[in-house]
Amino acid sequence: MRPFTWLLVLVLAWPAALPAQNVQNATLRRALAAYDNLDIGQAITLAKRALTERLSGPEQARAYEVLGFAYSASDSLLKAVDAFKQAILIDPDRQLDPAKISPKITSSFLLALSQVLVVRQLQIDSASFVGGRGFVPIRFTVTSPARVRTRAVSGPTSVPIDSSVATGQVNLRWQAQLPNGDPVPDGTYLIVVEATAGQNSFSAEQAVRVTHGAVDTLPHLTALPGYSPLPEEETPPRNWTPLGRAFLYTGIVGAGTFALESSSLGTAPRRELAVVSVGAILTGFIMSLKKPAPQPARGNILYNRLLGEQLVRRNADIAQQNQTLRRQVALKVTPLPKRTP
Amino acid sequence: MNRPVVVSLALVVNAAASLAAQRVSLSVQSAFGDYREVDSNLVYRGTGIAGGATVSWHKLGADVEVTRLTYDPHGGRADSSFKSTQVDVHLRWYVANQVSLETGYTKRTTDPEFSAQSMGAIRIGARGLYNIGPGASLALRGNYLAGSKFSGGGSAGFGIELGLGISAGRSDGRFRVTGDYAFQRVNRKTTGGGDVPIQQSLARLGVSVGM
Repeated sequence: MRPFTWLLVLVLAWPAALPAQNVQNATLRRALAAYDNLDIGQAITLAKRALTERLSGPEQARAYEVLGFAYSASDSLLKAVDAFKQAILIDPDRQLDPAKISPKITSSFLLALSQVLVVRQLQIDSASFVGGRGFVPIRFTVTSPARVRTRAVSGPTSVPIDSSVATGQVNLRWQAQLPNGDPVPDGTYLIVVEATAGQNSFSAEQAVRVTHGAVDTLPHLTALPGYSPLPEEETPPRNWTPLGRAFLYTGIVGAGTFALESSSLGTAPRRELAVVSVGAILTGFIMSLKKPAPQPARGNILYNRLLGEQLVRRNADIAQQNQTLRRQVALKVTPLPKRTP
Repeated sequence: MNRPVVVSLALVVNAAASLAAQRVSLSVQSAFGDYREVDSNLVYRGTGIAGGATVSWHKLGADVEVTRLTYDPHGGRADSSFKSTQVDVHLRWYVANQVSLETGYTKRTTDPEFSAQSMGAIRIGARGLYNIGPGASLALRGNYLAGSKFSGGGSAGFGIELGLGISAGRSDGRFRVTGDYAFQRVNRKTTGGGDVPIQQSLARLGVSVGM
C-alpha cells in the first residue's frame, strides 16, 4: 500500500483517541499511545504483549479492542473480527459509538457480534405494582439464534420467567409470581438469562430487590361526590289561607244556624255564634300574619333517604374492596447496581 | 252527675292512661247558652261551666264533655230558672283529609225535672279538623240526632247539630285556649201529634291541657 493510501485509511478508520486513563498495565498504555500516534504495527505488538501479561477483565477487553481497531486499520479483517469476538466475550455489553468510530471498524465489530453467542444489555426497569396486576419489564439482546431461558433465582428458589428461541432484542414481562400465582417472597433475586445454541452457551444476570408493601385501602365516604343532602323541612310562604278558612267555616256554621233556626222560636241573639266566630276569625287573622311553621319536605326526605342508602351501599362496596386489597401485596422491584468484575 | 257520665269519663281517662301512643287532653271551660222551646215566649239564657276529656289513638278519637248551665227566663212566659246538665260523647274514626266520621250521644237533663224538656239522642255525623297554623286548629261538625227521647214523651223525626270549634296555643298541644259553639235544633213530636221545636245555642270558652 502506498503511503498516501495508508494515511487515507487511517484518517477514515481512526476512532476517537482511545483514552488511556484507568489502565494500570504499562504495556497496554503504551499500545494505546502507539495507536493514538498512528503507529499501528507498534500498537499490535504492544497489545499482544500486554495480553500475555497479568490484566484485569476490562483491561483484557481493552487490549483486544485495540487489537481489533489496529487490525481493522491495517485491513486484516479476520484478525480484527477475532480480536473483537474476544473483547465481546469478555465484556458483552461493550458498544462502539458509530458517530465516532469509522464504518470499517464498526462493520468488523458487528461481524464479530454475529459470530458469538452472548446476551447483551440486560436491563430491568424499576416497577411498583399490586401482585398479579403488573409486571417488571426485562430487556436484553441475544446476538445469535439460541434457546433463551430466563429465570429469577433467590437461594434455592428458582422461578422460571420465560423460555423461547430468540435472537435480537427480547422484551419480557415478569409478573413476580410463583408458579401457584402467589407473589414472590421479599428478597434479592438474580434475573438469569441463559442462551444456548448447540455447544455454545452464555448467561447474563442482573440482581433485583423485591420488597413487599401494603396496598393502599380506599377511604370510606361521608358524602357522595356531587350530591349533598337537601333540607328536610321547608317553610311555606306566608299566606291568607288561615283567615280564609276561618271565614269559610264560620260562614258555613253561621249559614247553617240561620237556616235551621225555627221562626216560631223568635230571633235568637246569636251571641254564642258571634263570640266563637270572632275568636275563629281572630285566630285565622293572627295565623295569617304569623310565619308559617316549617313543613316536612317529602320530596327532599325521600331524596335524602335515597342518598343515605346509596352512601351505605357505596361504603359497603368500599369495605368489600378494602378486604380484597388487604389480602393483596404491593410489590416494588428495584434493580441493584451491577458488580464490577 | 249521673252514673253514665261518671262511667264514660272513667272509661276515657282509664283508656287514655293505659295506651301508649295516644294523646289525652283535659279541658275546663265557662259556658253560656240560649235555650228556646215551643215558641218565642219560652226563652232562657244561662251561664255555667263545662269540662271535658279528649283522647286520640291512631285513627280513633273520643270526647266526653259535660256542661252544666243555669238557665234563667228571658222574657215571655218563662217564669222559673232551671239547671241543665248536658253530656256529649263523641266517638270518631279518622277517614281522610282531616275528616272523621263521628257517632256518640247527647243527653240533657234538667233540674227541677220537667221545668224544660230533658232529652237524649244518638248522634251520627262527621267532623273536620283543620290546622290553620302552628298550634291552631278549626273544627267543623255536623251531626244528625237520631232516636231522640224526651222526658215529656214523644220523639223527634228531625234533629240536627252544628258545631264550630277553635283552639290555639302551643304547637305540642300542652296548653291551648279553646272555644266551641254548638247549635242544636230538634223538632219534637208530641204523643198528641203536635210539633214542638226545641233549640239551643251553646258556647264554651276555656283552656285545655294536653298530656
